[in-house]
Order: sequence, then C-alpha cells, then structure tokens
Amino acid sequence: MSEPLLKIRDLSVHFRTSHGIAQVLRNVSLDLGRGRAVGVVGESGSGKSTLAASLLRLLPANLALLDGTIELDGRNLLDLPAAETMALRGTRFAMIFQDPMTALNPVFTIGNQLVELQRAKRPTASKAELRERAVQMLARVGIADPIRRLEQYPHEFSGGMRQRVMIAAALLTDADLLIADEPTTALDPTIEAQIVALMRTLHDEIGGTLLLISHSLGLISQLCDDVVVLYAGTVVETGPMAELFRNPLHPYTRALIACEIADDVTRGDKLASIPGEVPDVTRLPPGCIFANRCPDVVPACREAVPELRAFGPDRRAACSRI
Amino acid sequence: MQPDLVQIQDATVAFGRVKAVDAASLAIQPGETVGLIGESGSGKSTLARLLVDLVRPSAGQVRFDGRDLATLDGPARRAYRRDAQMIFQDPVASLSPRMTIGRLLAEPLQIHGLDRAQAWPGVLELLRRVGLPETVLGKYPHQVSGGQARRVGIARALVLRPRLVVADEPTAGLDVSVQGDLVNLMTELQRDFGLTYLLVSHNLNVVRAMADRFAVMYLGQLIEVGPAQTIFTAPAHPYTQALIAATPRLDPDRTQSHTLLAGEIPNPNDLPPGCRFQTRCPLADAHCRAVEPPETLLGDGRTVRCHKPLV
Repeated sequence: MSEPLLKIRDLSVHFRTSHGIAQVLRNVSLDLGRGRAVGVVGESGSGKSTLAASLLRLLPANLALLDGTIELDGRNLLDLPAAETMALRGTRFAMIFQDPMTALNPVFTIGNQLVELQRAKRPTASKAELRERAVQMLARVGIADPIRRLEQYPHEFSGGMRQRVMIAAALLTDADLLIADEPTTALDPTIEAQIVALMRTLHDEIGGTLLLISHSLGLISQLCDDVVVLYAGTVVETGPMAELFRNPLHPYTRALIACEIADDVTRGDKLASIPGEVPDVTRLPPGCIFANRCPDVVPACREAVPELRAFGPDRRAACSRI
Repeated sequence: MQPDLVQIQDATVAFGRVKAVDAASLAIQPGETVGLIGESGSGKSTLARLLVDLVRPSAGQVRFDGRDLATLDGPARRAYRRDAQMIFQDPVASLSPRMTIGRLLAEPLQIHGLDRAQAWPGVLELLRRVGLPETVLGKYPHQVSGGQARRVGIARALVLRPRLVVADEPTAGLDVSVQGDLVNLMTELQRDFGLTYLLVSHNLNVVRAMADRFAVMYLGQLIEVGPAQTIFTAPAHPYTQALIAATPRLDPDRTQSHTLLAGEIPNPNDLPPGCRFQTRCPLADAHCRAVEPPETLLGDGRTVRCHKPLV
C-alpha cells in the first residue's frame, strides 16, 4: 500500500465531567489509506464521534487531554496552531453531519451556502464560476432543476434532498478526506439506500479518502474497503472489510456480527445480544476493556491491556487469547 | 378462528387537508403480533394511536372486542383504556422527569383507582420479569441506561395487565448489542401475559423477528397486509419490495441486489393522481397515473393496493 493520507498514532482524548475524567479515546492508532473508504464501527460510547471531532479539532471546552499524533503530509496536526487547523476544514477535510437540518444555515439560500464554502479553496474565482460548479454538483447528487433549487432555503428541501445537498457541499470543497458521521440515520430506508448508492458511486469516481462512522455493520459492509472496530474508546480490531466480517478475530467483533438479524429469522426466534454493559470510561477497569462482557475471558485478561497485534499483513486485533 | 380483538374499518384521520390515515382497514387477532411498517410521514404512528384512543377517526370505525370505541360510555371507556396500552418510542421523554420510577409504576394504579398495597407485589414481580433490579424504583428516568429506560416503559405499560400493547419503535436508537435482549423480552412477555401486539417500526429486521403479519403503509394507505413470511419472501407491492431490498444487511460479499427507487416521497399536501406510489414506482404506466388502485384480495389471503401486483 502507498503512504497513507493520514496516520493516527496513540491518540488519546479525555474530557472533564462531573463524574471525573472520561477517557473517551485511549491510544488509538490507525491509517487512512489514500482513496480508501474506511468504516469506523462502534456502539454508543465507543468514541467514534470524538475520533471525527479530533480530526477536525472540533473538541468541546471540557477537553482534559489531547495526546498522540495525527500526521498529514508529514506534519502532526495536533502541533498546529488553532488558525492553521481551522484552515484545514473545508480545504483538506470536509464533514457530512448526521442531521443536515442543523448543519445547513436556515437563513441563507442553498446557493449562497454552496458558493461561500468554496471560497476557502478558490479565493479568486468569480461568483458565477462557483455557482456553476454548485449547479453541476447538485445535478450529480441527483437534485432535479438545480438552478431553481439554488434560490431555495434548507426548509424547502425534504430530508433526503437535504442530505444530498450536504454531500454536494462536502464534495464541492475538493477535500482530501471526507468524514461522514452516521450520514443516513435520519433517513427512511428507501431514501437511505439511494444515498448509500450515491456515496459509493461518487467515492469511486472522485477517489478521495472517506471515513464513514456508523453503528450499522450493513452500511459499512456496503460502502467501505477497510473497517476499524472501536469499543469503549479503543481500537479492538482493524482489517479489510470482507476479511474482517467473514473471519472476525476479536470476541467483540464476533459478538457484534452475531447480533445482526439474519435473513432467515422469523417470528419468535431468539435474537443474540451481548450481555452486560459498556464500562464507565471515568472508572476504567484494569486489563482488557471487553473482559466484563467477553465469553472467552480468563483471569489474565483482567490484568493487562492487550496490545493491538498484527495477524497477517492487514489484520490487527487487541486480544491476548487469539 | 377467534373473533378479532381489534377491527379498524375504513378509518380516516384528517389533520386539516392532510389525511394521515386514509380509509384504512385492519383486523388483529388475540395473541397476534402485527408489524406496521412504513416510512416517516406514512401515517403509521397515527394509525397506532387510533388503537389507544389518542386520536379518533374522522370517518370509519375502530372496534375493540367487538365494540365501537366511539360508542363507549365512561366506565366502558375506562376499562378499555386499561386493556389497551402503549409503549412509547422515547422512554425517557415519555416518562415524567420529576417522578421516581417507583412512582411512575404506581401512577397507572392510582389513575384507575386500584388498591396500591394489593397491586404492589404484582408490580415488583413485573419489575423482575422485565429484568430490572428493585434499586431502580428510587431512581429518576434520566439516571438509568437507555436499555433500562425501555424496560421501565414496558413495565409501566403492563402494570394494568392490558390485552393489547401498541409499541411505537420499541428498539429505535438502541445499540444492536442490547436490541436482541429487548426483542426477546417482548416475545416472552407476550407469551406469559397473552398479549396482542401492534408493533410500529421502520426497522424491517426487528419486525420480522416479532410479527405474524405485516401491514405496510404508504402515504396514509395500507398498501399490503398479509402473513409476514409470505410478504418477506415474495412481496406483492413494488413499494414493499423496495423497502425489503433497501434494508441494509451485513453483506461482505456484496451480493445484495439493489432495486433502488428513484425520486422522493410526495408531499402529503399534494398527492399525485392515481396510485400514490406512481411517482417512484418502476412499473407505473398511464393507468396507474390516472386510477387509484382499489384494495384487492390475493389468492394467498393478503390484500394489496396495486394494479400490477408482483405475485
């Protein structure tokens, strides 16, 4: 594989809360390969949204620790001054948010917003030129009559349309890395399927790097080349999508896959679940973070945090029992 | 065959010019689970609310145990309100933040004038059955986990020992690792308490694990109703087919076929002429665009509203 676009090493992010210090991410290391679609799977409390927020440096004020490195073009982003990290947003990094209604400004027309967000990268371009790019991008994401639509406000679009506008906005920045945080959860299934197909086509055509954050294994399997499994703030497994889902190594990944409702399930069939609860990250247990829910746990698991070890060229898992 | 517990007959619920439910008919047998599926704005929550008397039909009837709800007098209506309970989508939002879980569970008894001391052992038993420790009784809804709050919502719905439970998106927003537990619990409770369920969801996988029959809604109309297994393996309405195909599944080999729908759901204020699905239907022709399809009974017992059913 060529040099990855982004190298994250030992990223730790802690927050101050009323219950103590929440160690939301701990020693996260991963590579985002150029042109790859990387899926981050995680349930609530896994730290998946904090990971996205760390890349964009959109961390809340109760940040207690930000440690490790995020390397882009040989520079550690965490060492850059605030103004420089801000300059990366909308030029190198773009984000598709979960809820397009709150991400789009309700008092400006779509056209106005789609033109302005291109300014950072094209400061000298004429307004007419930027409008023309916006029209073309709206047409590409499947919005009919884009010239008229540019004059409309976000509330005049349906939920599926707004999500398309968000995707168009993110693509208009020509960013190297597109981060999508649960981009389809607010959408109905038939509209979600349209958006997923659209994202896949555009990713194939444009060839940027996509970081897709989702709790849906189905969505990740349809869109991603590589998968990162996060559990309670730490990477438990990474690997190429098909390999990881066909042959999961970590007990958490295996348990999560078993929770998927198979096609042959019918009424009254007992469904799988993972007993127990996600540990409180303000009071971390010693040893493996999954030990209290793991079916394969042995006493040694509760003593030391397992390292993320390599299993073959592209696979890694953090379990001492594999 | 037993008499139906619930019969909705040509029920319409109009909000201004919009008919959220438009001449819908659906019967539910005692002990059965009907899964009501549809996208947001299809009217599924309004139809569900008809069954618990939270909305009333502007035309048509809702019958419970053979009696038209519109004709129930005071005591009969109270009795019916005990018999039909609802589990709300967001348990934390639907439970008062100022009451402890103990008080929340006692409140239905009080409203219905039941003796608390006499009923309380049953409440504690119910608490145990839904898998909650007695220590939650002194806590407030926001102090328990999302999965526990759902269980409180279920226990509260069952305190009065209802016959019909309407569950609106009971697993929405839950992590997959706990979703299975909740579905299993609801299945067990149905068996133990002889419950009849109307399950409202847009998650087809969860509905499939629970329902005997599916009822599919689109823009206020029931467009396909029949046995769950039959509909899931061979949908008759093109919309049902698209909905099944669109349900994301874990598919590392990427073998899932994608019959994608084009277009968006029409505005309910401005319905197209003819079939309501014609703007997105791959099979629509001139007839579909002009004439609204009637509800048709197919040979296998299901009803479908389509000029060109797939089976």
